[in-house]
Formats: sequence, structure tokens, C-alpha cells
Amino acid sequence: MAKKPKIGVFKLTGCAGCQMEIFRMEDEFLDLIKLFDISYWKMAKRDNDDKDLDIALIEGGISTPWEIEEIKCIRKNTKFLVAFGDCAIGGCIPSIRNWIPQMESEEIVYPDPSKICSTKVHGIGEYVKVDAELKGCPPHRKTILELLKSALLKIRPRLRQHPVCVECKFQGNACLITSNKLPCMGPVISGGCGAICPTLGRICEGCFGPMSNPNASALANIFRDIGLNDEDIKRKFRKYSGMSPEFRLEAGH
Amino acid sequence: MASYIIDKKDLKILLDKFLKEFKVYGPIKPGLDSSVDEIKSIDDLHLEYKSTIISPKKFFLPPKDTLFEFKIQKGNYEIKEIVNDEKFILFGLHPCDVNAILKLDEFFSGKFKDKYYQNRRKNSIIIALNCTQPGENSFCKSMNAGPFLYKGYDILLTDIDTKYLIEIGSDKGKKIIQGLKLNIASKNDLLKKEKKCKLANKKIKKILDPNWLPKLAEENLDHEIWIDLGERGGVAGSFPCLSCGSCSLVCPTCYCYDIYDTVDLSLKNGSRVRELDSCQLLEYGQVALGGNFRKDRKDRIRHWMFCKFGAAAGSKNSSCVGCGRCIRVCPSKIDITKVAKSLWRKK
Amino acid sequence: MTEKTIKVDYIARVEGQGAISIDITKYGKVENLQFKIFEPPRFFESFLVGRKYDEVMELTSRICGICPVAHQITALRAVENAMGIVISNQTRDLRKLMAISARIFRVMFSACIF
Repeated sequence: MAKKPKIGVFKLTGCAGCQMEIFRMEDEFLDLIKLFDISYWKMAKRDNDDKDLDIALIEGGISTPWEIEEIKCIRKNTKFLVAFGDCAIGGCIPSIRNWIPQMESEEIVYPDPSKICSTKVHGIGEYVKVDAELKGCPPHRKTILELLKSALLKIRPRLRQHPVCVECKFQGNACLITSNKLPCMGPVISGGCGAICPTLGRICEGCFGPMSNPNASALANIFRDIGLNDEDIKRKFRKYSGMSPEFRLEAGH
Repeated sequence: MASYIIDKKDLKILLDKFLKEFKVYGPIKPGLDSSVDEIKSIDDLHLEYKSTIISPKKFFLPPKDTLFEFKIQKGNYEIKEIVNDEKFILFGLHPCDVNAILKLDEFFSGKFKDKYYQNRRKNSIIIALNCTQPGENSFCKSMNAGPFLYKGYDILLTDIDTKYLIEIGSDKGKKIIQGLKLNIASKNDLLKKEKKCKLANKKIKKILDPNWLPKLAEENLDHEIWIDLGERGGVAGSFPCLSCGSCSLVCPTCYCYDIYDTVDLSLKNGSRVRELDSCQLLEYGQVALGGNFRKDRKDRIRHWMFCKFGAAAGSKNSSCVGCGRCIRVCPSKIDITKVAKSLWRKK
Repeated sequence: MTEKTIKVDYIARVEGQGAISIDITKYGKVENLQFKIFEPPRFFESFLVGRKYDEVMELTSRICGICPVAHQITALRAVENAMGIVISNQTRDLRKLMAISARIFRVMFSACIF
């Protein structure tokens, strides 16, 4: 068999939930680690080597100067760089603070802000070229597997960015917007989760980020029609992907 | 063929006979948000339903369907086809849905025969139920698809107050009710059915003329209504299209699908999957190297509506049956009949 | 005098974003202990201000990917305390069950992987 591809898993400003999603693939995990040479993964092993990687999965956004250095260094050493999860794509939930002056945030949280060295959160795409994006907070294990298998087979992964509505219809759910007048984010949010929340009667909160070519302004108008005010709408869009160009207008830029 | 009647309370006898021999699927909830699912006893069956969320096309063209499994062994391929031979009854389908299945039949048994579809179709028995309470969104009458049914059924039920009128439409239908003691319908019962038909027709408020629909599509390719619908303020009280694909996924006649392969972690075993697709999605028109035939939202919604008007793929007949599902499911409240009327008016 | 130094550059338990160094004398006495967390700050306390009460549980569960349930239930209790809501015994038991099962998962996970 050909040489195993070297893989690295890195964490920047995030919560490690995306890495956990790999661990949580109980049925596939052991088969998966046989196929790759895990070269760098601080959370899983002691001796790590970040040189000459084939694939790097980057979890988390960029919020400190040395993270900028780190991501550029990783980019240099990696053939195929993957933004792994919403934080790496656009900052995800930590990016909500981007609308608050940095000094104000620091003063609320730390008694002595002079010790803190932090900037606004951005996705890694702001600083380096990204080869693939795995959407989700965290990404679904199916999409992670799809990407890794495609990498082994050297084919393009099938990462669809259809809205949650598609998966809702596959499940046979009644539409929460039209039937229950609830402000569901489904029509602009990328699927991949299998519409878990709407299937359980909860509205989609948007954790997979924008779908391909979403019509965010139309959905904002629909929310207004349901009875949400402008503040509510802003909060809804300024959550998992407020920094994405697709939602920026609705998130209040 | 002869017609029979059965008391409503005796419907259990009929259903129990079917349950013994077949899997039976029918409406399991009352109202508009019903769904066609497996029926285990008469208590599960809600024949007073108005419409289902997902159309019964899911029994012939499932949202996700494994076509075959493959194995790679020493450079050779081994293929195992997945054939579903389950015989089933669809109980209580409305005329619009039966007509939609007839339209799907045309598509899947044309020049290229889809054996997965045809196999399922062959194993199905359709027991239709005439629609006496059409919903506010239905425009089946205009599309010649309802509210009463004249073809395509194996057995047809009509609610005539305390009884159901049973009409047989095929040999299959005749065979499955053999052995049951049913009373022959009287002339009075048949008259009652006609009366019900007239009443149901009156209840339908949405009226269109289907004859001008294909022409409408041809003449209005560059109409500004499409820009309104795609980007600006919507049409006739609607919001702009979200391109969420709901309309085409619930549509009983939308048949577009995507095919892809998946492999397991050994990278040697896998399967080929057919998944329902929607022309409203950006990925639908995408080809290799990133080209896309329908990049703009307005092009996609226009394409879908033209397809329903009957202008797509050189067709001259509308593929819409007027079930009204797309109107109900659209979060933007886009109403295809209102769009058609606006186009007609602005000509 | 320091006889032994235990040094871990990154602790997997805290997602590799912490370090510990312990100096131990000949007699087994800990002379010096340093625990560093170099995880970048994310300012949850700051951006939660001004959010609606029912969003808090969802947002705080993203504090940590290993123990989201603990953060979620704590946030829930904070909101309930603020609003003076008293929960039923059944709800409390269910939450306990969830918290314990999350803990079992976490411990099992740490035991198996690390």
C-alpha cells in the first residue's frame, strides 16, 4: 500500500468540539486512524510533528497575533488545508463580540485588561488560502468522513450546501415557519445536520452557516412579518455566522 | 365494472383483509399536515385528511434510495442490485396525487425505463379516495386532476355520508376485494356521488386556464416578474424566493434526482445512491470546473415554474396537478397561480 | 533541592491549551507548581450581555466541546434563578441524569483516548 497520508489537527480559538466530533465516531474511529498517519494532534497524542502534512484540519478562528503566525506556518507546511467547523470559517459564536469594542469586552471580563492580548475573531480564510470548508458547529461526522475518504481516493468530496429545508422535507417535517409561525433559520442555513432540530420541533438556529446563495434579506422580511423586531432579527443572524458576507447586512454591518 | 357500497363502520373489515396480505400505507393524521405512512390498524387511518406534507411519490421515488452495492475484489467489480419486492397498498390517496403518479409513470417509462421506479409501481395497489373537502390552496380542477378521479386507480372510494362507494378500476383491484361480501351500489348511491362531486367542485376557489400556461412560459422568458420574484419584493403579496427547494421537494410531479457513490472506510465496498434533488438549489445547475447554468435565483424559480406550466423539456402539457402543496409550504408565500395570473395580466 | 520535575507542555484534557510543571524535592514535597492556560480569551461574559434569555443555553454550550452539557445546565439554572422559576422534581431528575451521563461519557473518553 502507498504511504499513508500525514494528517494534522490544530486548534486555535475554539472549543475543541469539532475535534471531539472525530473522537465520537465510535464505529469508524479505529478504522479511520489506521488509514492516516496522525502526525500532529495535541488532544490525542504526546509527540507531535507539524512538518510536511498532507492534510491539516484547523479548528477555531484567529484572535491573537501568534495565531496569525501559527496559521501561516501551518499553511506553509501543508498541502491541503481544511477549515474545520464554523469557528475556522468565520469565527462562529466568539465572533459575536466583534460588534463590541474590544476594550469594553476586556474590561467586563478581566480585572486587569493590560495582560490580555486579543483581537477581533476572524476565520482562517482571512489570512491564508483555504482548500476546503467543513461547515457546522460541530460538523457532522458524515461530512468529516466524506472529506477524508475523498482525500484518500483523490476525488472531489460531495459537500452539498443545500438548505436545512431540503433535509426537513426528506424527514417529512411540517414547516415550522408556515405551520407554526416560528422564526426558523432553515431556509438560509446550510444542511448537513439531517435537520435534527426541526425534526424535534425546535427551530433551526443556524449552526451550519449560510447555504450556497442564500436570500437572507427575504428571510429577514419573513421574520418581520411573523412579528420579530429588527433587534431580534439582528441577533438571529449575528450568531454562528454573523461575519459571513452572506449575512453581514442582516447582522448589522 | 360494478360498484359496491360499504358502511363507514365496516371499513375495518376491508382494511383487515388488506392488512393480512399487504403492507398498507395511508394518511396517519387529520388536517393539512398529514403524512402517508404505515397503517397497522383502522385507528391509524385518518381518511378525513386534507393534504399531506410530502407527496406519495416517496413510495416510488424515495428521497434517498440505494440502487446497488459494489465491491472491488482483485481489480474486479462485483455488483449487487437492491431490488425491493414488497407489495404494498396506498390507501386513501387523493385524485391529485394519483394523477401525479400517472404523470411520473410517463416520465419513468418513456424512452428510458427506470426499473427501480417501475418495479415499485408494479408492486403497488392504489386505493384512491375522492376529495370531498378540497383545501383553500387546491386548484386541481383547473389542471384536470381533481377533485374527483376518473382514471389511474385500482379501487376508488367516495364518501357518501354514512357509506363509502367502492368502484373498481382494474383487475388488480377486483382481485383484492374478492371474497368480501359487499352490497351492490344502487342508482341512488351513484347519484349521491355526482352530487358530492358538484359540491366539491364548487369549493375550489383557485381557477386557472391550463391551456395558456405553456404559451405563457414561452413568451415571458425575460419578464421583470422573475427579477421581482428572485431579488426584489416578490409578486402578488409574496416575499422574494428563498430558493430553499421546498416547493419542488413536496411537489408530487417533480422527479429530478442526483446520483452519487459512497464508499466505506475500506475504500473497497460502497453503494450508489439516488437522492432527490431540487432545481431551486445552486448545486443543481453546476457542472465540472465550477460552471453553472442557473446561477441566479430568478433563473431557478423561473425554471421551476416553467416546468410546472409545462414548457420545460419541450413538453406541451402542464406537469402540475394543482395539489397546492407548494403554496402551503413556501415560507415566502409564493403562489404559482398568482404568478401565472400576474404574467397573464401584464402581457 | 529539586529532585524531580514533571513537565507537561500541553494537557490533552484541556484541549492541549494548558501546561503544567511540578518540581518535587527528594522527600516528595512539592516545591513549585505552575499551571498555565494559554487558551485565547473568547469573552463569553461580554457578548452574552444583551442576548435574549432563551439563547444563553445554546451559546454557553459552545464554551467547551468536551463538556457542553455542564455549561448548558449551569446557564439554565442561572436564567431560572434570575427569573425566579422553580422547576419540577421530574425536570431536575432529568437534568441530573443528563449531567451524569455527560460526565460518564467524558471520563470514558479520557480513559480510552489519553
